[in-house]
Amino acid sequence: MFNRKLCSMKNKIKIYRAKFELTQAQLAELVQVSRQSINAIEKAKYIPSTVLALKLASIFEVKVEDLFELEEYE
Amino acid sequence: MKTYLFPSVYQKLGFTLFILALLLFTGVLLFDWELSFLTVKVWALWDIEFLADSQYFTFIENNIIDEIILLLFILGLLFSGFSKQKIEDEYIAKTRLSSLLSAVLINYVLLILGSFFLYGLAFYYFALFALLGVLLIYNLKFHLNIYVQQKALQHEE
Repeated sequence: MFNRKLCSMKNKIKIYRAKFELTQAQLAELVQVSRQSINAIEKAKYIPSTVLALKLASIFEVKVEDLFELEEYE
Repeated sequence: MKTYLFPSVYQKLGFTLFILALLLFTGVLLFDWELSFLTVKVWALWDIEFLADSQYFTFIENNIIDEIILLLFILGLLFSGFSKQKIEDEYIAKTRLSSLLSAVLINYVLLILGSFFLYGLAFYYFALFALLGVLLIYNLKFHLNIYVQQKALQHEE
């Protein structure tokens, strides 16, 4: 059951990016967005659309929920 | 959802038109540029002159410098604010939308404050600003946000 506590979203893009030895610019080019977008997503300043989240997951060959997860806070 | 934006080359054109409008505006307002060759007959849908009757659907004599300046301001701000960025993606779209929302809110808060604290000619000048308020504030917010995002990149990698 979904917990009704307020949620934000954290992600592991920076970790996977390091694992795949990709720079922000290279990853941005692969998913056809600007480097600013990748930077903002990594810093959790911006939550990407479902399409972009799926593209990122496909680059890192993982499921979306491995890359993004809800973070509860009171 | 399809969003219409001008091609990216229009951004520089927009800045140029805006600067041109600003120069003309300063010249007319501060240095009383006459530009009498711009006094021409124009067709007026409705004209109310000071201490005169209203006129409808008629030709009147008018100096069109103010119309030209307003046109240059509007086109300049539209082109500079609504042209595609180098990479136009969803994050830029979100930045546009939040800048536009801030601009509408700030503009109308200023308008409410202006209507309560400015009177007579002061309110008239303020109303002139309010004509372009949303576009001006949107452009400032949007380009400032883009600049901040680009600055943030310099600290990465």
